[in-house]
Amino acid sequence: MSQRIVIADDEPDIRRLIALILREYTVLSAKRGDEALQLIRQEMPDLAILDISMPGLNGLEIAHALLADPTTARIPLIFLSAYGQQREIDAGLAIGVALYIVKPFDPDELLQSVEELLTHESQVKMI
Amino acid sequence: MKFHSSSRSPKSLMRQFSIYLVLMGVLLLASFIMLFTSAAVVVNKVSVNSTGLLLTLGSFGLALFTIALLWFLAFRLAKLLRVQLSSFKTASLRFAEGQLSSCIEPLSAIELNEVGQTFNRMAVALGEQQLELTEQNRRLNQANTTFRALLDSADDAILYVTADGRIHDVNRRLIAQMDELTEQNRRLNHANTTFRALLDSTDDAILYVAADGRIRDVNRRLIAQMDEMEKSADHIMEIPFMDYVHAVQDRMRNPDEYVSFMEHAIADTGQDFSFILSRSLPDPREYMMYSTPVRGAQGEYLGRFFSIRDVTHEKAVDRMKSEFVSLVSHELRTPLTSIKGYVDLLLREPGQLDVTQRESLEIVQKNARRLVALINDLLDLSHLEEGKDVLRRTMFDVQTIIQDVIQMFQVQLQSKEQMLASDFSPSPVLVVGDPERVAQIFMNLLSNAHKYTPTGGRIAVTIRQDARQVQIAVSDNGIGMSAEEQRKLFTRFYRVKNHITQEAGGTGLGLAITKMLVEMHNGDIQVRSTPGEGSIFSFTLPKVQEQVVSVAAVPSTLSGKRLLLVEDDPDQIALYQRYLTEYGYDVLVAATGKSAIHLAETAQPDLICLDIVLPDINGLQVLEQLKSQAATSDIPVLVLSVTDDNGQARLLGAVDHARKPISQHDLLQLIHAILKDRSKPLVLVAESAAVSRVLLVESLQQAGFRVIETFNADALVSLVVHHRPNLIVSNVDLLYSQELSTLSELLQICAEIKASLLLVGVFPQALYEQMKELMKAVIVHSIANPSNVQEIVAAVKEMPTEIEV
Repeated sequence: MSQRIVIADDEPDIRRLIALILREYTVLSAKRGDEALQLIRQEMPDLAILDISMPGLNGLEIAHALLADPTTARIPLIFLSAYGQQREIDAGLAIGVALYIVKPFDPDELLQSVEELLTHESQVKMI
Repeated sequence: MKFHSSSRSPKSLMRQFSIYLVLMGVLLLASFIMLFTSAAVVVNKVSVNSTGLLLTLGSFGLALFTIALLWFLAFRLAKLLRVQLSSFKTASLRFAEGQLSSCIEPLSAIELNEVGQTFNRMAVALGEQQLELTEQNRRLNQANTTFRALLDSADDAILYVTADGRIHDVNRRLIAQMDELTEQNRRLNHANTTFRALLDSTDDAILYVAADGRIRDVNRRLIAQMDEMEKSADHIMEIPFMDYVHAVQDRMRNPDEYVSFMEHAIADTGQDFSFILSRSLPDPREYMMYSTPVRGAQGEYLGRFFSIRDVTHEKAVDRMKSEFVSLVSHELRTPLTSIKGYVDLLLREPGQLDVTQRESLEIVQKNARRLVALINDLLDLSHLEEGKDVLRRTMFDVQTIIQDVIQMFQVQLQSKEQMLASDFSPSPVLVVGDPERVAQIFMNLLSNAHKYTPTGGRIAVTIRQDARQVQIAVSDNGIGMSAEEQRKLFTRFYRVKNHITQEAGGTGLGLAITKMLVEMHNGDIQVRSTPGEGSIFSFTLPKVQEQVVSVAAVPSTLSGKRLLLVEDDPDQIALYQRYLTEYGYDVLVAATGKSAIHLAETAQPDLICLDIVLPDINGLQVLEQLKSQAATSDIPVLVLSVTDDNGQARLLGAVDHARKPISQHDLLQLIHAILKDRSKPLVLVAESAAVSRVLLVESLQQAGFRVIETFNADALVSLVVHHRPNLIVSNVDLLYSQELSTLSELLQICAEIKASLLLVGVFPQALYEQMKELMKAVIVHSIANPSNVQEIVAAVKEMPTEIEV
């Protein structure tokens, strides 16, 4: 069974784009923030990719809720947002997500990041 | 003046009138006798005979004659006296008129003549005195004139005040000074009026606090502000500044912060401050407060100005602008994500597209990228302009950054078969700034050179430096620019027409951003170019001053040293690994105590950074083990832990202990110092008296020794075993307090590790007798006076301190 990824974005074009890039994984998508949080809690995916600006709950709020909850805190999170200013990126990363990718993004970069995060345990190279 | 010689010698008045007087006397006598005789006749004969009558008549005649004579005499005397006295009168009158030379003619009466002569003598004397006085007066006048001139010529203002407190005399300088003061006063009044008007005309509220902490001046705006805050501005002058602060604190959004900042500012006499004040009542407003100290001509602190500017509007505009920029960029990025994303996806599928389709999609992709770059540049520029983008300020080797950028750019260079030549300095070139921004500056210049240089062209990167700054130049033999083009180069959206490709690449913002970034680094950017021959872009960065270099920079001899990082937390590994590798250290990582010991043995690092909390064995145990085995005992260990260890790590042989989190600067400084000091002989100072110990340690460090110290006799043996010092300087009292077995143990170890021993203080003879045999194997010196630091240092320098490297 392939690893499962939740994507949350209010733009259907972008949800479809991400799903196409990540077609080797099982992708579950949500178009609203509150839906996304519910979906993640219900499905306990291996990774979640969150847009920031969304109706319902924004990405920052979702990440906050997930990281504060010990049952979901271990799910690696990626912000994929069109907010590209440094302070916006810093604010996103400060919540404690693994990665912040600014839109427009490079499909290869996203794919590679997802692969890396999913093999996180071996990320730290010990000698 | 001489007396007039007299033609007639004067006679006494008595002599002059003697004949008359004698005659008068005789006649008077005769008349008396006749009167008596006639009286006797009358009385005796009772009848009046002719004899008696004759006698009576005769006596009456005589008496009458006498009277006539007396009248004549009086008349003569009066005439004589009148004539003589008129001479006196004339002389006196003349005398009174000031003719002291006037004199009285010799007089006939001897008495008056004497008076006249006395008068004349007096006149002569007075005349002489007058002459003398005139002379004296003349001299006095002269002296006065000289004195006046002297007074007036003096540069000092002189004022003479008499005993009654009245000003009696002043000199010209004083008058001039008074005039000057009056003028100054006038000007001051004028300046004061202008200053007042200026203070009151500004929209900033201004408050001046004198050195005594009291409000000395406020302007109209401040009073108005007090009114706005519904606080009375009455009697604000001369009240302590902090009273004012406390009075308005309840109107501020963060009263505590406000009060503490103001307290801090008012206590400071040297710094400028700026501070954002947020008022919550009666309406929310934001203020920018600047404060600057005021100093007198001699640099003495006079007080402090506070100026409070209402920036509510500016802040609102700023927020709107930044929200707008953020929104616009977000709204542009969203559709671009789809455009670029789907095109990228299509182009990733091989063999699905024909050549024309592929070319068309590649054009879409390229333009989508350009749009993204434009958004990024616009955001960047907007940030830089707002001054929001605070530069990171770290010290780094600018050459490393430039080499990295060149490395990254190799692919592009190769695509146009361009040759890149570089001329670097053999040693690191340290600057302070934001490495990412410096990379951005250089990247921009390099990509411009690449863009405007034809295929097969040449690009050169050179680094020149002097004591003050570093100049990095990128030159090419590309199309070059006219003078006109060079002038417009750094303005926004200006692009040099590329004659080669007939298209202008880039966003047109690159050089404007580059220039801003260079200037933010206190540098300067320049361009020289000749059309058809090429361009040289160069920028300067100020160099790090020497004393700073010695703190954090790693000399080239230290980079390449191998460090072992013992740490189990992946985040911390990543962090410290980056800290260390950025400066050229070769970093090995061990996540467990066991692997640390193994790696220390096999890889022989130059230094070990050891965490205390490890998953398998405790860091201190690792330290103990490292120090106990020959293969690793000489490797310096820096213990890093989140808690203070009370000297525990040092006791077990760690060179130093540092609390986590530790900044990159501090960590590098510690490591640098440890590695640099490795070659120095190690001296262990054992002294219980704190002052002596501190003095001795400092002196020894200055003399070029590495020093570890202890005041604790119990720690001595452990320290010697774990640190293996070259020399031990110990106070005798400290040794004497030990069990004999400890002392002999110490001597045995000293002999083993070939450490010399310098004993300070008087070594008891009895003890010496007991230790004699053991001491033979150790080089022992002794100094009697424990307080003579100079002598101890001199002795330490003399003693053999072999180092086993």
